[in-house]
Amino acid sequence: MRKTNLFSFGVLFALFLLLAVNTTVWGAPAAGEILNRVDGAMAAKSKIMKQKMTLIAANGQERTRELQMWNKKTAAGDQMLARFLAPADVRGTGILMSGEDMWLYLPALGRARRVAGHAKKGNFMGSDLSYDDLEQLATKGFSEEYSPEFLREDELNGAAVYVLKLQPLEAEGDYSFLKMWVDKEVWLPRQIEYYDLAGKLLKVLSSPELMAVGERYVARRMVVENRQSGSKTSLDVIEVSFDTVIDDSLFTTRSLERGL
Amino acid sequence: MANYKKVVAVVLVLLGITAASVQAQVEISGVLETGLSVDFPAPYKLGGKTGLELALRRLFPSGGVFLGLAAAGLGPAENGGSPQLTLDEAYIDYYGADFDFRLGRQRILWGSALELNPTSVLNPADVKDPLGAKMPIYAAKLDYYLDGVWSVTGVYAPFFTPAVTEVPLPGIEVQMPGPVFENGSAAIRLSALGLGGFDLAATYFYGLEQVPTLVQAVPPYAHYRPSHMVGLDLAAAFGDVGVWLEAAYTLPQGGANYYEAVVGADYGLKNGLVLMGQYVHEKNKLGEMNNLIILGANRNFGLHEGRVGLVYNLTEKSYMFRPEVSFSLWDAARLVAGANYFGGEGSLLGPLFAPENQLYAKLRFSF
Repeated sequence: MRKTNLFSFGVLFALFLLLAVNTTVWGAPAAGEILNRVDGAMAAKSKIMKQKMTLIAANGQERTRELQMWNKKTAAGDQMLARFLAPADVRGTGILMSGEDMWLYLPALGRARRVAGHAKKGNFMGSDLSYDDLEQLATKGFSEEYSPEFLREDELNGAAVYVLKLQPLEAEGDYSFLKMWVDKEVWLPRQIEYYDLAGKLLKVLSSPELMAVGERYVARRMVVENRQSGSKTSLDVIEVSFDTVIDDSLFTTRSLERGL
Repeated sequence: MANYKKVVAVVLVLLGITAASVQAQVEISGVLETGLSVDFPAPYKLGGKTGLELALRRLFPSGGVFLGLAAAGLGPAENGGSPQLTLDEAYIDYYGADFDFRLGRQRILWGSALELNPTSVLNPADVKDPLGAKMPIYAAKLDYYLDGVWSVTGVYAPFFTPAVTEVPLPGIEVQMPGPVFENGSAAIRLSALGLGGFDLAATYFYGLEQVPTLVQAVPPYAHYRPSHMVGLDLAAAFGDVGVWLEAAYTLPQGGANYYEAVVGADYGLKNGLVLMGQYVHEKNKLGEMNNLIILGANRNFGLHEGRVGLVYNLTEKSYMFRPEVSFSLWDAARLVAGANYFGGEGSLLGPLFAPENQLYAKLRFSF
């Protein structure tokens, strides 16, 4: 009887150890599972979103842009088409990202032009987000490019969150690591800190407001602050729809060159 | 006083068109630009330019209509100039399931290089400013999409539009081609976009040269030679480096063949500075060899932008340096200030190119 109890205890202890390995903190899911759920909460087969983008320079000067974005996951990779609707000096400018390929359409140029990988790391139309950042937030998610580590459970602006540290899987990334505050209820990032290659805090993305769209949630407002330059970008959702049928032909240079 | 009346007349015409467009639910956009320039060195001639570009567009589910107008010479500082209203592009589009058709006055711009595109030969360039916008032509263009990657474009332009209508020699008559079918231009282009990470295109053009050629006869005259052109262009990205190549080989009737090739690359640094370099090699229709290097750099500074460009003619040992800054004043309004500085000995971009050292500032408002 004593042996049986000891055996049972051993089995329970082994199970506990297994659970402990898979969950960093008792009661919290594993870091990988949290990040997968973040990607799942943000992912959609397709998405159409109209946004207002406000660029705020370090001296407080503001410029606004209005843009429409179409995203779709296809067998050929993630597709994104963005078109600027306003103001007049950027109206008609379009960007097509298809897998690893990227084209820019400027009305003054009159044709779509392929752009190189460095452009993806550059700022998206003068904002504090890079094309890569935008792609991660819009379609790609983070699991493909980062390895997560659970740091702690916390509270951020009244919301219960998990805090993760994300290490890039490849050495050639733009950041040395990210820190992500994940909302426990809706599995969306409430805040992301991006650290430059020297390990200094570069920018902070925060999602102070969420909105429900059908059964899913989306950040109604995102604010990106560049802590090194002092500039700021806010993105406010005007309209959004998920899993709408979008024909693959939209994600072509033909469509890009047609303009608005 | 007469100029003032012309300005009022042009503005009234544009206002009338705008009002009618609003009634017809036409999308209206445009650019109002006013600028001042100072030529240097002494006597520091002051110049001014004010112009308005108006674009009217109506889109339909299967096409659209576009009309572009340009009014120039609207400013009081334009010495002796009179306002001019010109038709820019004006066309109708029809979109089919696998094709797009455009008919009317249009620019057909091809090629992977920047600023200088040897394969983009349908629209005549402004020989005084070869790096500027090309002139629109009347043409019918059909793009047929074979799939998401491959497409074929066919163009026919019935009316010959020359870039140059006279030769800089006294007493030489330039024979203008008549408006007949065989004096039109035709081109076909096979393109692949995103083919294994490459954009490729092959182009064939048949038409009259846009610059006349002198014929040593009695009496001597100049005419526009029929010519065939074959071209190739490609663009690709290797990691963070973008590369492109564009080349055209022209076979004129009654003369030696000539060619132009451009190879270039760009690269962006982590601080946002984008560097670009192009090498241009050409044998022109006079048989002269030319080699150019074009270098550029640009960077955003918050809401503002700075760029510098250098064109260096290795053959002629001449160059142009152009620094420019663009300040965002408010949404859709920019102040652009810069300089064109020319140096060296020979011609930079052909014998008809008119270099002028100049400081300039332009206020540009888009609506």
